[in-house]
Amino acid sequence: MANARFGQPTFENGQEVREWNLTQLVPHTAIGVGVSGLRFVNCNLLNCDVPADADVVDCLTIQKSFCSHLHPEWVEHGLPECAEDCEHLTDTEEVWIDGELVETIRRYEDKVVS
Amino acid sequence: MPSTYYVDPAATGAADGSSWTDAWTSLQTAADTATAGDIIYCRGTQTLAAAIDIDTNNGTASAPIKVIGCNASGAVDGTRFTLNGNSAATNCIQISAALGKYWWFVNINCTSATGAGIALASNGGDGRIWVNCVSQNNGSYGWNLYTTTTNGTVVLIGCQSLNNSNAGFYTPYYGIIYFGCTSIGNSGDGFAGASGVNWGMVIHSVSHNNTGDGVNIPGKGLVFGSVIDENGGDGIEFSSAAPYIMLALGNRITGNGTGGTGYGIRGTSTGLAFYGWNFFLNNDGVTSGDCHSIPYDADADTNETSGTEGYTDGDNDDFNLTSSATLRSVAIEID
Repeated sequence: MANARFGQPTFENGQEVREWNLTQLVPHTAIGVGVSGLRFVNCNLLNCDVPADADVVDCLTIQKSFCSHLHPEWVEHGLPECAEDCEHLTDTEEVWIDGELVETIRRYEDKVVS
Repeated sequence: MPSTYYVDPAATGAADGSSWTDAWTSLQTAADTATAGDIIYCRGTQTLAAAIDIDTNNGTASAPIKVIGCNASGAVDGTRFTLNGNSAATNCIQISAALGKYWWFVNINCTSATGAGIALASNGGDGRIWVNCVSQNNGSYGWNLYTTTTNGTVVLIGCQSLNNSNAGFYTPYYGIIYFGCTSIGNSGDGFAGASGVNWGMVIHSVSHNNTGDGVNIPGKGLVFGSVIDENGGDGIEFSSAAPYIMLALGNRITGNGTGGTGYGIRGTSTGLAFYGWNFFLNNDGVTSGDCHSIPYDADADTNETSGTEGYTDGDNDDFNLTSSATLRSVAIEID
């Protein structure tokens, strides 16, 4: 079991990659560029675009847009900082006291994308 | 009279759940049928388009509903029944708010959900026990263990959370006990809680190679006899405010926070903490004068023994242990 989350892993031609977490922060991040004959087995390939000839077996293959409001600790790893009213905003709640707006609560969620 | 049901996605019989031959092909059917005291045996792999919802019946404290994975022959030998989210289902197992109490899960593997592999909804988390279950390669938490009552105890024994795209084990609230569990390779904390008044116990467990903290308990917490190794953040972070008490005893805390961003143990709030008989080495990515353990200490004195500040045991080398120091007290053996 190995991990290359948030970074570019190094592969060799024909390598079988088994039980790795290869989660990337930004959707459709290419990994293994220029490497042929890769086989991924039971890996987390979230946000990864693998080479076209790669064999993917029992892996998570979704693309997900992460919100930096939910994952501020990932900004230092390269997650782009979101605006206050970003695409991940799902709900806004205003708190009024004595006719005065004292707080606006914003709720966000990560979104699975195509 | 309790009933026994069978689930096998490859079965081709009468599909009435009465035997392996006539097994139901979906755990959902069994979950909607079982009542207190019933046992559901499962084998093989079920590919999911949507989560298995545990939202129909409760067990009881004396008669829980049990879901047990079996091998291909139908025997219980530790082989897991797999629920494959197939990059489509939001969760593999989702347990509802009001129902789904007193369910036990044994030998279950949850993989490739777009969200958390296992999600427990808010309210009423009573009596859920997980044994030898795995949650791996999911698009969020491995386990999202939401309970909202002080007695909403969830117990995990010998479970694993591997390579998920957020924390391995996460609880936003109360009452989680981890015994002999393993959290490895997750994109977040190994064992995590949200800020608030939750509590948790991490006992004889392993947190390794996660991007965040090895264990992050912002409420009342105990970390005992565990290995917390090579995580990206702190080994253990306690951040509870007074009057909550936090204990870290007899742990191996090594190689965390490489790059100078983490500590062996970090206390960041006013709660009373006691750390003892822990073994620290090579935390914070420093090769000498390393292994920091910094409890909250508002007035910057040492060896607080009362009040709400962190307590440091000056008689032991639990803090600021250098690579050349004599180790006076270690409760676990390091190979």
